[in-house]
Amino acid sequence: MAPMLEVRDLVKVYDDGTRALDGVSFDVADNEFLAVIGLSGSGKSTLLRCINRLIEPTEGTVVWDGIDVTSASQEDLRRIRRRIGMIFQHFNLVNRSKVITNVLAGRLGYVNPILSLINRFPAEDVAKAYEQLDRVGLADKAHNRADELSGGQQQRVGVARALMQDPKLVLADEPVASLDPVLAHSIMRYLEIINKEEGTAVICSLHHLDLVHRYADRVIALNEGVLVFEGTPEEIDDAKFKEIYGKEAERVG
Amino acid sequence: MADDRVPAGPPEKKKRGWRRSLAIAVAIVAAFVLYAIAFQTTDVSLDQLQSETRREQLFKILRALARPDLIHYDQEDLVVDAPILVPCNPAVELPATSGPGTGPTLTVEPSCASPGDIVTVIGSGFRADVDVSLKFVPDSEFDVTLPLDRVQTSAEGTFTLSFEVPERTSDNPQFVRAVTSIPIGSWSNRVEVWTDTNLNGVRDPSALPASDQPLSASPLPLPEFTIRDPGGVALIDENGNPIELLSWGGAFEAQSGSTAGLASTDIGVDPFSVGEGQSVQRTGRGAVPEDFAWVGPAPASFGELNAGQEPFPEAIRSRVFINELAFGDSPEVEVAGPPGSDLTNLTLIFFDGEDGKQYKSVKLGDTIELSPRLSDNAINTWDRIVETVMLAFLATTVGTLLAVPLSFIAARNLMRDVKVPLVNLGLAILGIPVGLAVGVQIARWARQVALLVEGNWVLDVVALVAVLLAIWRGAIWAVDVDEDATRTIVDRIARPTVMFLAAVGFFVAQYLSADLLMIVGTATTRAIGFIGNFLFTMGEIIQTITTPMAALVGAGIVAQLGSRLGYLIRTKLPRSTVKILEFPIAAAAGATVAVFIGAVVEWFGQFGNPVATVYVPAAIGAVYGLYLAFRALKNEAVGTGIVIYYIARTVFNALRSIEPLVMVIVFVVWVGIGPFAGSLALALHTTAALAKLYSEQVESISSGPLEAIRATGATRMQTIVYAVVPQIVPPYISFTMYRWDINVRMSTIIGFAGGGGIGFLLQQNINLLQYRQAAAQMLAIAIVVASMDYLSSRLRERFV
Repeated sequence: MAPMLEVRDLVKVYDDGTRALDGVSFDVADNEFLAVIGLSGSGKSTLLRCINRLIEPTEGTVVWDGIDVTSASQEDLRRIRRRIGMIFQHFNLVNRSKVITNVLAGRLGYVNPILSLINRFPAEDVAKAYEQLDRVGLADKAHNRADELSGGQQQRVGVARALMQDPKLVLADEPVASLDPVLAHSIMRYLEIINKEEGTAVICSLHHLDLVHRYADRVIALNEGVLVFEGTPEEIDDAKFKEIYGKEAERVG
Repeated sequence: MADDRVPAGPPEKKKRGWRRSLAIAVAIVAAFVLYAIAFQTTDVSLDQLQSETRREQLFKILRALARPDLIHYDQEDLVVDAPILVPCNPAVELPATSGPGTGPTLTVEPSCASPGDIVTVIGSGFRADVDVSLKFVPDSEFDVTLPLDRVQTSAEGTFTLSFEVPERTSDNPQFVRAVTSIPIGSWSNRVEVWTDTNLNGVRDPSALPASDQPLSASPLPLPEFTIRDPGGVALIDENGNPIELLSWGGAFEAQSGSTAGLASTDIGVDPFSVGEGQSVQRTGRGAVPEDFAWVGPAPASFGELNAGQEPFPEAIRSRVFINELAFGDSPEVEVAGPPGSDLTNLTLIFFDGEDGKQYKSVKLGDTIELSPRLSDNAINTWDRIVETVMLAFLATTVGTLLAVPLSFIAARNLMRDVKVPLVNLGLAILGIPVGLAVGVQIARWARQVALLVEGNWVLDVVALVAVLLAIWRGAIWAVDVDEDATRTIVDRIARPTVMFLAAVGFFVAQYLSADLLMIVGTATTRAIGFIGNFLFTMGEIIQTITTPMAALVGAGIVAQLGSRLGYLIRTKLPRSTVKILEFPIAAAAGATVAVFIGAVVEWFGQFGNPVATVYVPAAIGAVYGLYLAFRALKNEAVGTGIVIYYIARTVFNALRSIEPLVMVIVFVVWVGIGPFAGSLALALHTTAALAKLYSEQVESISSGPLEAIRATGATRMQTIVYAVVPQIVPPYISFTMYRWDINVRMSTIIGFAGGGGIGFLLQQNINLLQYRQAAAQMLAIAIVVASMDYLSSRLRERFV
C-alpha cells in the first residue's frame, strides 16, 4: 500500500541563509502516529509547516494522498489544507472571538466563501461545532471569548477546530509544550483517540520522550535540519539519544 | 557553523581617552556655533522685548484677549453740552447749559477763555462709575468734534476735568460735550422697557390697546436723554411724513429732515414744570386732534384718556397723535388714536427750539432684545465652531473608510507572502487595461438598464429589491462549488456567467439606489431642507463613482482571469514552452507598466515628447520584463505583494508629510474657498495617516491565528475576516478617535488657508486687529479641543 504521505528530499533555506531542513525524506502510513523529536531549532516546526505549505519548501516534494502538494496551485492547496488539521504549541486561537467562532473557523475551507464573510455557517456545521466542543468537554464555554479560557481549555478548542476539518491527517506542532504534565496527557489522549478510533494519521512533534514512548507508533528525529533517526520509540537507546540531542544532553523523565 | 560569531574585542581604553576628550570638545564648540547661528537667523532681540511701545501694544492685546467678545450690551449715547466762549467776549451772551434742571448737568469754569488756557469742566448727576468721554464742539458748519479726554464718574455721579482750550476761536458760543453710554434693555435697567409676554424687552407697545371707546392711548417712557427747552417733538408716520409737530417755549420752523419747513404748533403749556404724577395733556370734545386743547399741569393719566377728554364717536379715524407729555424726572409721552392702531415704524423726533434742528429720534414699536445677550461675534463663533467640528467629523469618516482597505495592502506581514508566478503576473498586468475598458462599458450597460425605470420611485424600489435579491442568490450559487467533485459544464460556464451578471446587476443596483436617493432627496428638500440635500448629494456621489468603480472592478476581474490563464498555461504546457512564453509576456507587461508611468509623467510635465514619455519607457519596461523572465528561469514566483507594499508605503508617507494646510490650497483651487475644500484636504491627509497607522497595527498582530486560519484552507479574504479583523478592531477604533481629535485641531487652523471652519474668522479678526473678537474664537477653539481630547480619551478607554 502506498504511504499516505511521502516526503522526499525536503530542503528549506530561509531568506537569511539558515538551512532549516536539509534533504529530509520519510513516509507516513495511514493510521500512523508519528512523533518528530529533536532539539529546539532543529527544524521540527519548519518540517510540519512545509507539509501543508504554511512555509514554502525550497526544494523537494511532498506528496499527500497521491497529490503533489509542493506544486499545487493556491486553490488546490486550499483543498489539500482543509483535510489536514493543525494544532499549535500556542493554540493560535483568535483571542477576541468567541470559542464557537474559533471552532467553526475549522470549516472555512468547506463553506461558501461569501456567506462565511458575514459569519454565516450551514446549520449542520454549527451543530457539528457544538458536538466537537462537547467532545472536548467545553460545551458550556461556547460563547465565552477564547482568551477567557485557561491554557488547557484553549488547546482543547484548538483540537476541536482541527477536528472540524474532517482531517485525514493532523499535524500537531508541540501541542503540549505550553501545558503542565496532567493537561499534556489529556490533550495527547485526544490525539490518541483521533488516531486510534478514527484512523486519522497524526504527525506530532514532541519534547518529552515519555510522551513519545506512551503515544507514538514511530519516531523520526531531526538535528539541525537533518534526519538522524527513524524507527520505533523503543529503539532510542542512550547512544541514539546522544546522537539526536548532542553529547552533553542528559535524559530527563 | 555559520553561527560562530567572533566576539567583539575589549575596548582599547588608553588610546580612546584623548580621542574621546577631543570629540567632546569639538562637539561643545559645534553646539556653541550652532546656537550662535540659530540666534542670528531667528533675530533674537532683547531690545524688542524691552521696548516700551512694544510692551504697551502687547499689554493692550493681552487685555483684549482676556476679554473675549461674547456678550453684548445694548447702549445708547447720553449727550450733555455746556457752552464756552473762546475767546472771551462780553458782548456775546452765553446760552443756558443744555438740559433740564434734572438729569446730568455740565458746567465749564470759567465759561470763557483764550486758546491755551486751562479750564475746568464739572459734571454732576451722571450715573456712578461710568466712563464719560469729553469733546470740544467747535463752531462749524460741519458736524465735527475734537476729543478732549475720558474720565470716570465718581460714586456720586460727578467728575471734574481740566483741559487746555484748543486753538478754535469764534464769536459764537462753542460747546464742551460729555457723552456717556447707558445700557438699555439690560436687566439692571428694566424700568425703561416694557416687557411683553415673551419677556423680551419692548420699549413700547407695537399697537394701541383695544378699547370700546373711539380712542385709546398708550404711554411711551422715553429713553434717557436731555430734552431741550425750548423745543419740539414731531410724530412721523411709517413713510417718513410728519403727522404733527408740537413745540413748547415758542413756535419754530423745522429746519431739517422730512419735516423741514413745517411750522410747529406751540402747545402753550410747559411740560417741564410738572411735579410728581403730573403732566400736560389734551382735553375737551373733538373730532380731530386739533380740537383738543392742551392744559396742565394736571394729574397724569398715561395709558388712559385724559380727564375731560370726549372724542366724538364717529370722528377720529386713522390718526395717531400726541396726547400727553411730561418731561419731569422720567420723561414720558402718550400717543392716542383709534384703538388697535399700528404704532410700529412711527417715530418721535425731538427738535431744538433755538435753531429748529432735530437732535433725537425715538422709533416706536421698537423691540429690544434683553441685554446682556450673546454678541454677533459669539453667534458667528458658534456657527463656525460647529462647522469646524463637522468638517473634522466628515474628514475622519471618509478618511477611515478609505484607510481601512488600504491599510491591508500596506501591511508587510499580509503582503510579504503574496508571490505570483511571472506568467500569471504578466497576463494579469496585460489584463488591467482591457479590464478598465470592459468595466467602463459595463457601467454604461448598467446605466442603460437602470434608465428603464429611473425617475419613478415605485419602479425604482421594486427593481432595486429584485436586483439585490437576484445578485445575492446568484452570487452565492456561483461561488458555491463543491471543489472535490469533477467540474461539469454548468460549473465551467454557467457559474462564471451568473457571477458576471451579478457584477453587472450590482452596478445597476448602484444606479437605482442613486436615483432613488435623488428622488427622495428632492421630495424631502421641501420638508427638511438639509436632509433632502444630503440624500440628493449622496445619490449624486453614488452615481458619479459607479463608473470608476466598475472600471476598477473590471480591471481586477480581468487581471484575475489573466492570472488564471497563466496557471492553465503553466500546468497544461510543457515547462520549456512556458519558459519561452514567459519572455514575450513579461516584456509586454513591463512595457505596459512603463508606458503607464510615462503617461503620468507626461500629464504632469506636458513635455509633448513621445520619445521620452512613451517609446523609451516602453523599451526600458520591456527590457526589465525580459530580465525578470530571465531571472524567473530559476526562481519562479515574483514578490508582487512586497512591491505593492513598498509603493503603498511610499505614497502614504509622501502624502502624510504634506501638511493639510498646504493640501487645502490645491483643493481651494478645485472646489473654491470654504469648508468643503478643508474637509477634502483633511480627508486626504487622514487617509494617508490612518492607512499607515492601521497597517502598523496589522503588522503587529500575532501571527499565530493567521497561520491557524490559513491552515484550515481559508481563502485570503476569509483569513483577513477571521484572523486579522478581530485583532485590529480595538486599535482601529482607538486610532480613529485619536485622528478625529487631531482633525478637530487641524480644522481650527485650516481656515487660514481658505478651508473654512473657525480659522477663517480668527484670521480675519487678527488681520483687522479685532483682538477681543479673535479672543472669542481662541476661547472656542480651546474649549472644543480640550473637550475633544477628553472625549476621545474616554471613548478610547472604553473600546480598548
